[in-house]
Amino acid sequence: MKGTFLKDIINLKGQMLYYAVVIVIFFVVGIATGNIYYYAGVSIFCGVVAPLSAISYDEKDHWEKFALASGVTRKELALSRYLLGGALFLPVWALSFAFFAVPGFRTAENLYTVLTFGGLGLIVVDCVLPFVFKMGVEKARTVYIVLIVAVMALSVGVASFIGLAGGNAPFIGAIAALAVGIAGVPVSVCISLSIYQKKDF
Amino acid sequence: MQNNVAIRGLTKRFKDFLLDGVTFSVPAGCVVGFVGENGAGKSTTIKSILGLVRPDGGAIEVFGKPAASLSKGDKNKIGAVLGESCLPENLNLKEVSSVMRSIFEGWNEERFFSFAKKFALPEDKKLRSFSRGMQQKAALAVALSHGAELLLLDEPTSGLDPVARDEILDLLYDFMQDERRSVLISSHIVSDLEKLCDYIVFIHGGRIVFAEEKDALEEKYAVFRGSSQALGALGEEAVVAYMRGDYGMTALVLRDKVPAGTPLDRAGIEEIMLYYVRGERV
Repeated sequence: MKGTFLKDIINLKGQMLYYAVVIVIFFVVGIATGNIYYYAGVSIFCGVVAPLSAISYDEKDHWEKFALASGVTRKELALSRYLLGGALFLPVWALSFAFFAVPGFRTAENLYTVLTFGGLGLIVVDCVLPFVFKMGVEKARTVYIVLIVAVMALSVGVASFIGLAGGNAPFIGAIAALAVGIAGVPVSVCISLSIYQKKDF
Repeated sequence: MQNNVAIRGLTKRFKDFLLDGVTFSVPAGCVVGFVGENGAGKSTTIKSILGLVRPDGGAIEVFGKPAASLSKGDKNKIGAVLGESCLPENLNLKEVSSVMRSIFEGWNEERFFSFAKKFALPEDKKLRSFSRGMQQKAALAVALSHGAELLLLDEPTSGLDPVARDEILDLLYDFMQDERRSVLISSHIVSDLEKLCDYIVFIHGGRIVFAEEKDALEEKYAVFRGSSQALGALGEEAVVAYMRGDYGMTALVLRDKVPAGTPLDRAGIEEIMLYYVRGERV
């Protein structure tokens, strides 16, 4: 798995700069507008796009055939995608907490927003990867676009919900999103492994 | 003789193709040439040995163990070149080497770069800037740089010029100096296989037509040229297949069934293949 992960990182090296620029721009926009939602959305984008790009490169290079022929297991191949998604999504998401260094951002609403988007990010990764393993990147792109639109709609809903709902509801919503996202990881991994085990390369 | 690969009754069903009861072996110390037209089942067989395709039936043993239960260490002893280069095109050779170090326990960086030098492959250029021939050479350099005892090569010389093909054949000769090693090589360029192989396995329409020693093929088959009457006089049991030409008939015949004194030409592997695939049966 180490070799495949290392290959993905080197493969995506050129795109990393692009991701970094996008992250910085959205971070600055967030600070300047006092709105944390822009940045929170970007963290989801990074978590999904990176593994999709890696898989897309692999499909073009026929890497999976080589890796499996060389002793990398189907399980390791599938897990390395989750690892890559996590390795990019989690630090970018964790950086959301840097907003709280600015006194004006230290509100319960912002905290619930960051937590909710953390959960949404995981849910998107959980949903997208099995489709990609089953259908390939090109065919799964439609699913990915539908999911992104759904998440954007959900984000607007979350923003309204957090703004309008009183009491513990936003907090419970945030924890629920995180819980579903985290609980979805092993389920998604199991589905992906099952798809990979049956796949011919 | 110990077999590095033993395949018995391998079956794989696709929607429009059936690999049907494929049986042959790759003995230690031997090079086995795997020939057949496009879509005959060569790649599916090689992929089945490597665990890339799940067979529907039959048994495959590699190094005496079921292929499905090979450990990472066992797989590391197999060097594979699978038609396409299969290496990440965004990486240069130095980066490829650092990735391979994490994949192969016996990765030999010095050996890899000595092959790169021998093949005149630039170390700092991304593989996507390589020609197809250079990518094939890079793939072969990887296959030969981790202590493999078995090479499974699916069309490794396709797209290469005659000089590059000759270089690769030389490397395979060197590889075979150790008698524990084996090579299973598929190629459309039958002349390459005639130079290199000890055994020839011919697959047609998903079935093995023959799996024999190369020298035995030359002793077994011959080409007859003559009139249809002369061909008929050879007897049905002597004729494997025949073709009609502008100047008479030609036929692939069994030497030992043909009457003594009949003039015959040598049958090369390519001719044997052609008669089996395109010839008419008696």
